Amino acid sequence: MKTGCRGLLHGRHRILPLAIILLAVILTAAGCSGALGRGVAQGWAGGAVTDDTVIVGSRGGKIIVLNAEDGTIQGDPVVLVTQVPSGGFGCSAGGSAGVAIYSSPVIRDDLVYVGGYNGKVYAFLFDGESLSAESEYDFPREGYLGGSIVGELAIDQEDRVYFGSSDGKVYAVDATLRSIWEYDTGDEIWSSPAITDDTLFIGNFGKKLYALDIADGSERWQFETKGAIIAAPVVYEDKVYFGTFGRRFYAADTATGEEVWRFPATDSDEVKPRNWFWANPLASNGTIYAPNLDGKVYALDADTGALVAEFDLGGPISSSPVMVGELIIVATENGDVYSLNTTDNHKTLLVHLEDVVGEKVYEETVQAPLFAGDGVVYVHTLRDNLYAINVQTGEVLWKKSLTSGDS
Amino acid sequence: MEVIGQIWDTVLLSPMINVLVVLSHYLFNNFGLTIIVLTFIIHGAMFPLTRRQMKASKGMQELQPKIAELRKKYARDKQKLAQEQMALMKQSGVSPAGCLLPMLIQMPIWIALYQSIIRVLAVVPEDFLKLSHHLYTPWSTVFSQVPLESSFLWLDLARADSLLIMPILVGVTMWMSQKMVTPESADPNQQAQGRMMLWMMPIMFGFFAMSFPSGLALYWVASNIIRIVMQYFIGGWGGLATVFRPRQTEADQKAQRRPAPVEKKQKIEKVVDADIVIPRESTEEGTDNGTSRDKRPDSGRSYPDSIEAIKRQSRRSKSKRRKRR
Repeated sequence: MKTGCRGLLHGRHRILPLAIILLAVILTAAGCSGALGRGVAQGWAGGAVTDDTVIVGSRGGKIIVLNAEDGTIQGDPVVLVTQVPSGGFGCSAGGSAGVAIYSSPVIRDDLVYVGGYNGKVYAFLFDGESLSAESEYDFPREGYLGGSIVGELAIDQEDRVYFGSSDGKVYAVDATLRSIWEYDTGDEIWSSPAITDDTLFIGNFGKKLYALDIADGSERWQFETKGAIIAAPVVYEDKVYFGTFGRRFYAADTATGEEVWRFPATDSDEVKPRNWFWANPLASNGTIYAPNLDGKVYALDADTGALVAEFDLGGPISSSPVMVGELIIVATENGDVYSLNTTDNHKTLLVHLEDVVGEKVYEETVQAPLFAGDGVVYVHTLRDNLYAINVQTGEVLWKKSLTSGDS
Repeated sequence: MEVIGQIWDTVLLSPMINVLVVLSHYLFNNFGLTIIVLTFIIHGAMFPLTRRQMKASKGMQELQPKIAELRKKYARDKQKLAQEQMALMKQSGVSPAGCLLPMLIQMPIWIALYQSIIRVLAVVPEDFLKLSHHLYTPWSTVFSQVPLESSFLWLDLARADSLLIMPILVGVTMWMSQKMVTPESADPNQQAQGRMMLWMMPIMFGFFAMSFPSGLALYWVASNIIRIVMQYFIGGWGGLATVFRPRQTEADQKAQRRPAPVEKKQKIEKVVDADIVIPRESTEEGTDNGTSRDKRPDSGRSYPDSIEAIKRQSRRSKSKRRKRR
């Protein structure tokens, strides 16, 4: 290209300048549009359910309130916007843009809290039917945190809100989003915190799980593993359980941080998870259910870590499952929604989700955490559709496009 | 399209991601260093192709006088000119594709590297999650190694360099590399095009480096430096030598203007007086042993034996030209 292919410059051989111009156009267009796979964060939030409403974060930064009965949208959606700098080489002119939402909205009394990928937590007033157009409280009040908020928010009995950020810090704020404490782990956090009465547990990219005093954020212990931790830990009885990118699942004592068991126990074990533990685990009836991106849910004895059952769901599981009574509802990226009965470890395919638009059928992809209420599980797909599904029958009660508002 | 995507992932993207992650493991978890080492590996793998490209370029340069002759000869018949040029290139075994091929091959590598950087550094959750589909299951290291550390020197390799140092380095090193292989040309048209090429690419890539992750810019800088070194060992500083050659001082210029020794001056005057400039070696050879009777390829006439003969020949030529007028 650069070594003097001068013959290509002349007469009918003007190939090189044309090739360079073509290269410039392709790289510019691809770089600007993200077609090369460049990260355009769009979000995959779940939602929250009240008696008769569902609140969900759409892809593209809207918080939408829907009627739980039929999925009609109530009031005007709230749009989270953020200031973006102009892109280089004319990629974007700058200005404001929608905020990607990965952190599901959480309801507490008359406030709905949501964390934005822009590094800001918002609290909106909720009157039972719709949200206030402007946020009532923000954290931080001015500007943004040094990193994005990807994990979920956790709220304790005293209405204090806890969350991690990719700036490496864990934050505790009060109900009006005023800072109480912060703790710097030194590495990015995408994990959601798990809280007990006195301790907060959270993992980070630095392959460590931290136990912090919930009152002041002081460190109680840290547990080092061999892989990043993105899945939220789950606390069950006196142990904290968590999976890592090292394809291992651990149980540690909540008080001391001592390892109780690990799965698989050795590298030579026959059953070995083949991918990351990305989605959050659940605990029920003395068993820990750990979904893996290899398409399986591993049911492990909470006391010993022994494999109780293995559910092969046939597709990667990145969406965190939800518990409805004795059923664990879990969805694969392929759009299959299963129920796992924790009493007899029986799996049932509830529904395979497809988006039918006119005569075209599109496969649905599920990555957002599931949420449930009143025997109905809600599934938010990457095509920005929200499905309400009966957990017993698998019947799709309603479907709503969060982009267009169509049913 | 899905099949093309799968082929792309299997053949290029997945191997590159896994190699990057494993390399990073052995290079002290330093992703910047990993990119530099990967650049060496890619250039090593492409060395046969690069050598072919250099040969093709050299061949192209050697053909330039013949192409110029053809252009002169078929100035009014463009079609014939194109045919003759193609025939000449074919006859000489030079292919324009030999120049373009390395660029075309490097393009997918850039794109794959770009995608790999975005994914292994966990820039956004969607892309990072996709990374899990590319990791080789038997290689346990790659699973626990990601996400990689994105800081290197002053850079966040996942983002463009806000200090603009990398865009400048990309532009400068690319210009140097290009300058080394841009030959001087007497043809003003050719000169203008050469100048355009010399500046267009560095400026273009400098702008790209302002928008793309600095990890990619680091690859470009490392590539350019490797290329500069390779070119230096193959053909010296080339065009860069003229840039760094010290400027002539006033004393040097005066020395040049000073009259030459008498004997030399006489020789030069005699030669300048003639219409044909004879290489001194040929003249000396012919004068020394009297055996040189080489035929001139264009006129078919023998070389004159002395300066007097040249003068006579010159006078004849002048008178012929006068007659023509």
